[in-house]
Amino acid sequence: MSRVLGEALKVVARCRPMSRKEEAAGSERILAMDVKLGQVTLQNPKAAPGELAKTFTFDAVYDASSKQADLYDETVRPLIDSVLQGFNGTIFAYGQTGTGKTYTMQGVWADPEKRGVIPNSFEHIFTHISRSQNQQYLVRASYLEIYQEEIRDLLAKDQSKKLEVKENPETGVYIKDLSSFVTKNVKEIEHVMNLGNQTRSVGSTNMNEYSSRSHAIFVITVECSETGLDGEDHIRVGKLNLVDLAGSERQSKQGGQGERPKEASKINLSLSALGNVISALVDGKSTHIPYRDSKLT
Amino acid sequence: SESEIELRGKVPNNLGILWSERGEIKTAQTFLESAETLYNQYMKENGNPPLDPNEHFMAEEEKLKDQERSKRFEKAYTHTLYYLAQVYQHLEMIEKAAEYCHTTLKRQLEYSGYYPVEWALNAATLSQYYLTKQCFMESRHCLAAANVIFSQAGQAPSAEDNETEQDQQDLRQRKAEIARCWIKYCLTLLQSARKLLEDNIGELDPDRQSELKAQRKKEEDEKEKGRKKAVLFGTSDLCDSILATEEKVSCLYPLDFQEAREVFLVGQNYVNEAKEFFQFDGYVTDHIEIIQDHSALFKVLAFFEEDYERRCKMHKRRVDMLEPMYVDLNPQYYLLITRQLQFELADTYYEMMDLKVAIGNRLEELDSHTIKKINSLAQLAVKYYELFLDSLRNPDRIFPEKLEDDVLRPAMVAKFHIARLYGKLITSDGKKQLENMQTSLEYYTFLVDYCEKHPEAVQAIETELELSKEMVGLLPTRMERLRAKLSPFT
Repeated sequence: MSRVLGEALKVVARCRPMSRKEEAAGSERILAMDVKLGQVTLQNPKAAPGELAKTFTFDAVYDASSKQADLYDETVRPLIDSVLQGFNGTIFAYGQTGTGKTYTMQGVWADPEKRGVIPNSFEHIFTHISRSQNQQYLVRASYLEIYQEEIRDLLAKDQSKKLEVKENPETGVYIKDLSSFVTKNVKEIEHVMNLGNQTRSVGSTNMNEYSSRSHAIFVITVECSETGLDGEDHIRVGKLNLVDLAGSERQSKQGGQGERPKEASKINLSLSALGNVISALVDGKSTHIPYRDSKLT
Repeated sequence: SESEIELRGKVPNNLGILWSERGEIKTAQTFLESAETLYNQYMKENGNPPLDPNEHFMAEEEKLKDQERSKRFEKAYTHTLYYLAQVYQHLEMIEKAAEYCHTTLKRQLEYSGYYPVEWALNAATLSQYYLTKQCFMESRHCLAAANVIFSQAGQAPSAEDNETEQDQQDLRQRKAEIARCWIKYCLTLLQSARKLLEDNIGELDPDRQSELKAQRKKEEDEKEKGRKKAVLFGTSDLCDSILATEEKVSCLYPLDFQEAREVFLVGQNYVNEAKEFFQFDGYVTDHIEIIQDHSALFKVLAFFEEDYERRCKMHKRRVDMLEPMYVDLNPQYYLLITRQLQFELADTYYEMMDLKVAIGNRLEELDSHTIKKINSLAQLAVKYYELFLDSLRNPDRIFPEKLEDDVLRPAMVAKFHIARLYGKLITSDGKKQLENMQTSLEYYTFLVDYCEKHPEAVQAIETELELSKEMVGLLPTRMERLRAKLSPFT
């Protein structure tokens, strides 16, 4: 059975309208979007004479006048459909703080026109389920957060416990003891998400600062049981990962264009970083470095 | 003077940091190196601990005791060395950076105070650096020290009495990580020795062996003692414990089977230790890497073993440890590891088959048992090479037109080995033999054709390509001859 419904990976770009502040400051628009061609063109305002604008092509492009519903129907709907069929899907929102990731992913829940990817996905899933005739569905939700290499279960009562990433030979990577809740309708799954969001903001003095440094993953597992022509029950399980990535401005630039970023030459004052310094010296495959990699991957 | 030195010591430290933050790493280097020189000069000329800068602002009674002053002074110097290590690292002077890291670790034991687990892990990591430089004496010293210091962690009562389950688990994990560093030590030592001893067909060269043994007798003590003193960790009581650990394994290249076996056994012990924590269910990737190391230990030990039957048994051990893991892995989630295992299993069966053929050649006649064995091993090797090649197919089951760089050579080697294996199958059935030769020819042809279409691939498989071209030339003729023999009436 073909595992690929359409394209396996889609990259989509969305540009937000200028904020009042930006307009008031007389900010120049350096971005041009061609929806038909799926291209974004960047013009460097400080360009040297003769420097050309740079153009990037995506699977789809949404400009400042784009509607939440358009984005959902064209780009997200097919993905949710395939999750309901038993495939896995992941949606990442990537961008610097302030570029509108939260608007795109969450939107304004109360306003049907301004609802984002997440509320629309919930609606989509449960509407599909309510219309189904011969199938039984079970929907579970989990919510976890990754902050400074530690994993937190946002739905757990005991918040002091940090979760571990483990590997199972048959089922691959999993988070040990991650709690999940069965949700029977949109309201219940919304409630679960709100619970997690509340937990997320607890313990940080500056929410914007915090959320710009942590990644959150909301996982919806949809199990579908159907009695086949052979009289047997066939079960399909699809997983949807909704990832809210940390502000990309925090990520260090690797490689670059020959010039080493200044950050990399900073001297670490504390001896607690001695381990990192030593690890960086080892450049061989036939060695073992006793430090863990980033859990995000 | 004493008061001056401390100020003049700390100022370059701070200036060094400031300049590094401004990205002027070379300037930082200058300041820090001057701090270093200052310290060395001062300690040579004076030796009494200088005044701490803050003391200038203190009343007479509040001034520090000599011991405390000394402590702070030494701590500042340790930091100077630590900052220099980072500067050298940024300037890509890796050897110097390592030297300074080493000295920092040394000084932590002597002056600064340290967290045993953290110190042990750092020493174990540094040992891995020394491995990449073939400095086995230094590597062993770091690892032995890591063992000794780590054991201090277990003894001291923890600051918080409620040491959790998590802490215990962390401790066990760290110990297992250090064990894995030891495994790499043993493996690298053996593999480096192999490189020195092998001839151009990968067998142990007895002349080289005698040469190296003679050389070893000569070089010994003096040189070693000098090097050793430079890197020695710790106070006298630590020294003894570290020495005791060091004496359990050699740091010299093993030059014969006995010596190799001793290193192998130490490595195997650490494998068992590491496996206890990194169990398959829970730590798939780590567990498999440990088993792959264990397999590599057997592989390199086999090199030192003269007797073919015993060699074969060692390779059999490899298959026995790799196959069960392979069977349980879901390739959907562990594609890279699955491919590695397929390839290693294929190579191991291939090796075993070659050994059986060599053993068979020494006999007067090949008996049916040996023939069966050879064929079975050949077929198993083919099976795993085919599985590996299958894993490269796209979702529509089509073999890629152009192979990615990272799989190019293994894929070509797999094709080449399959071709050769079909050539090795023993059968009395002429028709079957023709079929085998035909299959062989097809695989050799694949290699030649691919390299014609993709000339950039040639450099990855030069030797194999040459042999393939030869076979593509020879095989059709041989097949004709065989056909003629089988049907003498046409």
